[in-house]
Amino acid sequence: MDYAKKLKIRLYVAFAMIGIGIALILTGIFGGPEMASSFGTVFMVVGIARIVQHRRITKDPERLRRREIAEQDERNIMLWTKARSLALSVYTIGAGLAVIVLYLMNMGEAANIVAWCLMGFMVIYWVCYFIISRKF
Amino acid sequence: MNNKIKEYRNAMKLTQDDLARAVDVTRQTIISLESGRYDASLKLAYRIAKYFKAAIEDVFLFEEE
Repeated sequence: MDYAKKLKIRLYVAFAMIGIGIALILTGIFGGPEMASSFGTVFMVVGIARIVQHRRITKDPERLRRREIAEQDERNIMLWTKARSLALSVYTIGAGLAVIVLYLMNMGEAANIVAWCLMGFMVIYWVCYFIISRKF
Repeated sequence: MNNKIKEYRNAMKLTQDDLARAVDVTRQTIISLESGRYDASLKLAYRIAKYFKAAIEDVFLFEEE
């Protein structure tokens, strides 16, 4: 996919985020009015920030070229992939340790919640990994 | 894998930034390549060698471990 198309998709996503944010604030359907407006505000702010960023990038050809090179640079991609992989390992180990610590602190219910969340996450992760790894 | 990127670059009187722009990578990648901290992919090695008008094996020196 060429970079211009990628940027266009990101812009559409930003508009979609603003739309979701407004919908959440107006309807309050997600976790009650207060939570919905908090989430809605976050969605809107992120969406607006992305649009501002998009405008800054596309207005300056030199900045656009630098950004494109940085995002497509093979070493950067390798570093991001490594960082993501390591972050996942750290997250998994951290959550596993949190379960043990919570049990030791007699917070069984919280430990159960973290354990189930971790297990659900791992199941989704491995299913996705299995499907995606067969594509390449 | 060793390489002679720095030698070729100096011979052509190019800065790291010039070379980075010419082969569409960041300057940090050129720095890492020259210092041997990063091995280029075949595609990038080909682009760099082509830019220097040299063969890949002249620029990149493969050593059996």
